[in-house]
Amino acid sequence: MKNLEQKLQQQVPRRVPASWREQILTQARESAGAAAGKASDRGEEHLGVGEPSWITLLIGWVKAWVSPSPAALVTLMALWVATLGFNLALPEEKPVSTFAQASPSAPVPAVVQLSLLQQERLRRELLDLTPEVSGALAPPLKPPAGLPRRSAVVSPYHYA
Amino acid sequence: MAEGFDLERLYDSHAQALFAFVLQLTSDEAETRDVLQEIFVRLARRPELLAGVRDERGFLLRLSRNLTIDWVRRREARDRAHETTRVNLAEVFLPLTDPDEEAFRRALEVALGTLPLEQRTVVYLKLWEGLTFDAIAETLEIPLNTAASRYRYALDKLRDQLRPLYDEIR
Repeated sequence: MKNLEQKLQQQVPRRVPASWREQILTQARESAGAAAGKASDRGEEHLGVGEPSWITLLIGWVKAWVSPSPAALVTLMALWVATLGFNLALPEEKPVSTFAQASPSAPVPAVVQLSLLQQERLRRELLDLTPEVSGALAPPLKPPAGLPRRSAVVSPYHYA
Repeated sequence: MAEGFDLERLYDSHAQALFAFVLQLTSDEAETRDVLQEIFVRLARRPELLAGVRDERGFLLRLSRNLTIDWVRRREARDRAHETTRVNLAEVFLPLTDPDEEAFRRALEVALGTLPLEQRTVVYLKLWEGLTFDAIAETLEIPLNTAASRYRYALDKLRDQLRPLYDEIR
């Protein structure tokens, strides 16, 4: 192996073309001057050469923002935690009934009308609403003849 | 910092090594010039890049390696997109007068071109830059064992490809 290595090392790399020196140095100085001018115009320093890709810029930005500053990282984490807490603290969304979603002008089905009517009737019976009030809600129910009115049965005056 | 003076000193101290290194990796003189240009533009724009750097040569080799890899990848992507392949590779080593030695040089350049970029980098730094594996590992920011194994694999491949010519010359 040593012989091969020695043999390879005998090869002499090409020399850098002499004309490049002035060209490269001149261009570097001009570029630095132009960059300094732009930076002073913008009030910031221009970094890098050429047009880096957006992913490079993004990674560089994240690194620059987080890596050298633990405080920034802690702030970011605190923001995440606060967001999560806020999200958990929000009341759960109540399910909206189908009737609420329906258009007010939509016709109510007959079955529903009947059901509502029965519900109202029961409610009126339980609360024993007066005819003035209950009349506005639904047609009064007529008790069968011969039976006392319910209000007469439960009235406190009955025991007086 | 006297930028102009420092830039010239940097160029005079390192341009030859950087040129040979980048040319070895790209096998393309125009690309090598572009990479070299970019290195010195960066140094001119941001002289503080070298502030606190112990090993200027190592730093510049690392910078040129990174820029070269970007450059080569972009070129390869371009070649793929246009379905083109490079045919004229630049000469990396000085031509020799002895026909056998010249044939070996050409074969070596072809063989080096077949190595992966990582192996070619280590081979160049070891053989022509004269760095130790420790220095190579530090320059390329890779583990010492990786540097050594890349070198070993590369040398095995070169030996296989160059054996007929090498035996003949010996």
